[in-house]
Amino acid sequence: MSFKVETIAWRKWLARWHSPWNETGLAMLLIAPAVAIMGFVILYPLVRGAYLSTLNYSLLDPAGPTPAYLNNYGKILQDKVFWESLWNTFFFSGASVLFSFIGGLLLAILLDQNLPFSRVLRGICLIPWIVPFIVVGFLFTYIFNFDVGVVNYILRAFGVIDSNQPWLARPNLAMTAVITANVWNQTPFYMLMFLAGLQSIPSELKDAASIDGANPLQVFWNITIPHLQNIMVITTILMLIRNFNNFPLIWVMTQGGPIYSTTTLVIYIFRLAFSDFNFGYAATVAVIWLVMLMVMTALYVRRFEREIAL
Amino acid sequence: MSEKNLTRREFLKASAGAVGLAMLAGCAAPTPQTVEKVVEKVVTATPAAKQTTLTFFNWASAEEVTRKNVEKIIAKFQSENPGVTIKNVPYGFGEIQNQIIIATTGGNPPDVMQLSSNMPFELAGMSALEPLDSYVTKEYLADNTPANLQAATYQDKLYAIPWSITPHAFWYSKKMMKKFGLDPNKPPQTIDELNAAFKAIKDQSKGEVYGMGLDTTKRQYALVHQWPWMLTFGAQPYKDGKPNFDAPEMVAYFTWLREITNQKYNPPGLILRDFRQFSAGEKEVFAWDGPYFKGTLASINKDLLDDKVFHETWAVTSIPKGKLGKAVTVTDNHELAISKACQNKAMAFKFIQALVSSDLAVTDYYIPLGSIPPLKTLTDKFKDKFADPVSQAYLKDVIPSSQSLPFGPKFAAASEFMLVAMQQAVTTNDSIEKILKDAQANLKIVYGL
Repeated sequence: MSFKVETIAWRKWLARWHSPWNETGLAMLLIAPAVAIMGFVILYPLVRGAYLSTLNYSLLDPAGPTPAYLNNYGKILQDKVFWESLWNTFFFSGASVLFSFIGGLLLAILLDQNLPFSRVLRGICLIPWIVPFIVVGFLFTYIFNFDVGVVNYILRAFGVIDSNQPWLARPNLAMTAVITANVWNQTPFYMLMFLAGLQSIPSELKDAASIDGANPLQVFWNITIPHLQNIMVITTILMLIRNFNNFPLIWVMTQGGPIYSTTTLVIYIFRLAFSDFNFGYAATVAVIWLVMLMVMTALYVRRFEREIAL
Repeated sequence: MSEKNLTRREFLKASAGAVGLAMLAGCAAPTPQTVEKVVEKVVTATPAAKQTTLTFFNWASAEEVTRKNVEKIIAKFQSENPGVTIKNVPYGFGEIQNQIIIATTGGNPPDVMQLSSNMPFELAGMSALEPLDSYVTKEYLADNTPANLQAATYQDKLYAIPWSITPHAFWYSKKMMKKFGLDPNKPPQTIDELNAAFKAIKDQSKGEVYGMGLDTTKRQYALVHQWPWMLTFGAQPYKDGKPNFDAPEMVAYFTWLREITNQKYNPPGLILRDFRQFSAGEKEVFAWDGPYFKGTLASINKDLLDDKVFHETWAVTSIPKGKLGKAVTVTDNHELAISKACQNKAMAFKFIQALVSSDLAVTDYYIPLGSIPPLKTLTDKFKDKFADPVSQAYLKDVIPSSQSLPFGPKFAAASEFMLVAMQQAVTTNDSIEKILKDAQANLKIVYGL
């Protein structure tokens, strides 16, 4: 008898948690620690950074911070270095993504064929991806070295240039060198994503198209590309975000120079904050940069949701 | 069964959101708060019963050449001063300024700190340093070179004590000069002679050997490296408390710099470390470098470890003369300072004295480092240790020709515009007059003129 009563009570207690209200409460309770930690390590610095952007705040000024309200934002309009950095950020990110995309797609198509040692080749192709940015930076600093760099050596050997070019010391060449290093590092990621996409396309589809008389180019255009479309979009947005904040590679190779030719927004923010110690204005540039990143992140999340819905 | 269970789709949506947030977290700018959190917790000096702990931020302990010798001086000081503990905190040269500023802003500054270049001025501008005028005697001041004291004086107050003295001087390879048909006993005395030597070296080596490297990178140190050459051309980039960057003498200097770079006498975009590789590998005939040049070259080319071999191969003298009409260099010192917040300043100054003027500092710090002590009494006392040709050239010719740079709290911001102008001159074909005019306009804004 008592056993029965206890069982019923227990079931009633359990049933309470099945009501929508209690279930929400339990969910909130469970995610509260994560929200608290995320709020502390992400939200608080963001809010604090936004607040700093409304101050005249130089660490070197013994008088301390004074209100600037929106003056720092007004200053940005007149700041030529900011606009050059913004253009460099888009150019660096766009060119890196474009060339990595093309290289990754070509590699993926190649490795999707039944080549001998294809698994080994895939492993080898992934090596650049696992090399840290800092190491890539140093590696390509030597590759593009004015005196002993292999790039100058090869170009001279093929008669493309007459004398060694100072790749990292000429404004019109430095960005090319930095993008080349970045593309070398990121192409394998595209390859990996595209290869996964290629291998998920049912072979029956391609076979059917071939039987119907489609040539390989038509198969590629009408079957392969549509199947890869979502991967392409998501990977591109993801890599745009990643390149938007690529600091170590550029810093190691050029420190944003010569002049401002490779100064992207992250480099500019770092210089303002830790070279000039002008935290107020650095925070202002950082807020604008962050807004752009949030827009890209929103695009990414929306696209991801769409893919799930399909 | 509740309808509120997460579906696979909802779970994926949540995951996407989490990834997005994680991306943003990775993108978050290094705000002061995040930086403050990573500042090492340092125990500051406390006047607790006969126990004193002094924190010492320095890069000498972070470098292999000097680490053990600094520790030796610290150990001796502690044994001679019972109850005093030196907390030695090594930071790399590139990060020490940030660490000091962040620690000071966070209310936890080091008691004693090693500084260089513009650092004393920035920290003095923040009111973070203790003026040291009341700690030093007139005799002590007279024992120093005026330019070295000037390099640590801000608004007529001495904020740092000169430690090791390492100004740049003109090094020439006698061996390579001979090889390229130049008289190894007659280094270039004027800019014209230097230009002629550059041309001879390029012609004779078929462009395989450089004349001399000047740092044309965007580092602030590039400005320190080039400043004496600007002065040699008669330029005064900063005159009577105001920027003077668009003067005709600056045009002449930048025109020369562009020309020697275009002619590939000077390899562009490289830093001092790279030039030393060239010098050690006999790919560069002249070098503009500090008194530690011998040590750094010998670390690359072991043949040069032998004093006799080195002095047969390399020699040092003053900069070739230009429009200025006399030899000149700029101070490039390491200095020691005391924080204003230090609780036991007298003991901190005593520690500085041990680092600067003890016999152990001479034998175990200055000499192994290849630098010159700041005090005349020390170089006199140990004159046999400084009797070699390099030390003698430095003591007689180079150090007396030193001038201080126009350092100050705004120098860092100003140097950015000067460096950009320098890079524009070197890397583009734009009008040098226009480059300098633009730079001058920006410098006026920096200095509030």
